[in-house]
Amino acid sequence: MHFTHRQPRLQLRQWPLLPILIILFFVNPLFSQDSLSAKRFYVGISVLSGNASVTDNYFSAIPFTGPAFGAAVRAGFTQRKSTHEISWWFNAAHTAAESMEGQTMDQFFFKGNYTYLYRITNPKRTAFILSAGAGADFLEASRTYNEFVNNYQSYEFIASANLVGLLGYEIKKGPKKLALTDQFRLPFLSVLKQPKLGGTEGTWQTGSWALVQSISNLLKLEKDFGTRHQLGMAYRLDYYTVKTLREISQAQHFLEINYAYRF
Amino acid sequence: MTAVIVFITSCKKNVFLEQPAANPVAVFDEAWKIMDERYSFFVLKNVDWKEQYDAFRPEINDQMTEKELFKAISDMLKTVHDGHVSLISNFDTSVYTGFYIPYPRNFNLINIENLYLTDSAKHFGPIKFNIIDSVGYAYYHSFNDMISDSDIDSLVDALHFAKGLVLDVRANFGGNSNNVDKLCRRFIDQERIVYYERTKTGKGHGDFSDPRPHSLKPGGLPYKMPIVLLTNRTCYSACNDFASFMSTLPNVTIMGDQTGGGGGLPYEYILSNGWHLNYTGSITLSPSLQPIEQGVYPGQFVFVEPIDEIQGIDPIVDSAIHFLRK
Repeated sequence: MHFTHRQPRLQLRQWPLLPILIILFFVNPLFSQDSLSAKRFYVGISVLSGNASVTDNYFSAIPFTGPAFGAAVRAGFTQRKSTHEISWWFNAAHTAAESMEGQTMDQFFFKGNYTYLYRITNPKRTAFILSAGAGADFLEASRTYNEFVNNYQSYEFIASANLVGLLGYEIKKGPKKLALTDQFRLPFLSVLKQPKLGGTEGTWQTGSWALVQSISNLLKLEKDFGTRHQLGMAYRLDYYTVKTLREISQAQHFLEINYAYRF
Repeated sequence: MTAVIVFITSCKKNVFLEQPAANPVAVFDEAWKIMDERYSFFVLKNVDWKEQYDAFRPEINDQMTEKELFKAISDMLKTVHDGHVSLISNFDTSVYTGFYIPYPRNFNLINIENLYLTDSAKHFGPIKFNIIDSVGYAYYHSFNDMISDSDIDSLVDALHFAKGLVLDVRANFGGNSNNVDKLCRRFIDQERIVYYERTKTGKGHGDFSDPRPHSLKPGGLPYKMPIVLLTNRTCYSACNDFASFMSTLPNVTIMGDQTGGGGGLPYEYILSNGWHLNYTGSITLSPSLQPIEQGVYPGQFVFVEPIDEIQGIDPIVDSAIHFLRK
């Protein structure tokens, strides 16, 4: 359902968290060695802790918000100028309608990505990282509400083709290096499945920017330890809104601790 | 870093999605709009919903109290004459009762218990049962009361030497449709369509899916002796579905008054001020594809007059027993 007069808007009231993250990372005296080789495989794992907020207008215009916890795994292949990566992340959230006791919703969320990035800036000439590329996403969110009659479950599957960009800056101190990067994804073509009104039977829809609007950001600080190990932390922001009869907006943000191993 | 994680995860308030406006004007408009886009019987009941907006909207302003707002929205909702449409707040509940309040009740539980469900009555789960003049009498008060297969087995076993069954579902306001299915399964000997459902496919008042059948297969040995189903205006919702299906069986006769209706599935929505709005979001059709929102008519109208109640008798049950003994 469309409630345009009540459209949720991004309000990044907690951006002050980011300097805290950066400071926490810098006070750690360890700086990794510059050990990037030209062509390498890597795998990584992350733990996620954060919040999920969902406005599912089929149930209410009131957002359901609560803590969410999850994990992510990734595998990739890097060359001097390009990167291929596949990642999966999921989380479970227990949310409640704001200012209403007892009205709760549990959500399971899964998202898989493929990303190809090509580095535009020359790493030998500038510390700035600018990469562009493309990707594909597949996500599933399934929800169970309590205290609803007949309609208490909803879900959506979304597969999207994305434009992907990455901005960053490398700080080098002798052989040691610290990289701060921000990857963002914008879907331009999406296929969506969600239940029909009054049931759980799914229906498919296809559309472009107008059907699924999404911003997905991953801000990372990463350091190398030795030649094979990498530790990092990240702030993940994932927001999407689905413009259908069952209009849904969802925002999630997480802090992550990452570990990666290079072969 | 641990401190930061704890801080992030302890956030109860969302940081991205805005709370909707919850002033009286916004809430009234929201309630009207949800009904406008989702309610399923505007066409069948010939209700001009925009006309209701024009009639009630001038009363709404942001200075009114929440009780005044509650009354205004409730009055507007009652114009659709639907017992599934209700408004629930933390201080009041408004439900349309016009489908039974103005009509004779045709049921008196005290008289039933004094005459038919005496000390010799048995209880098969929520079903109360007795044998009267070699006819079985079973009373099922609410489809919300879960019924098990063994309860139905016990009922069918108890009917072994009976000439038939009087199944009384008066004053049964409906409940869980799984109980409807369980009961229906024991009265059929082949797969049958119990009802069809049409759900909304768009915001227009006439945007509905094609009818989707809900069919059942037999469950256990079917009871094929004559059955008289007793109904009245308080047989509503799931009970109405049950009566609709039973009326299609060749060995079933319906007696009493017509059912109250409620031929659609109720759904729920939380308005921006926290009130719950229940609305009918689908259309249930009988196996012959007729809407049953206006109720199911009995094969034989029989009424309980006030003098009957005073005298402690129930002519509907008596007529049913007499019918089966013939």
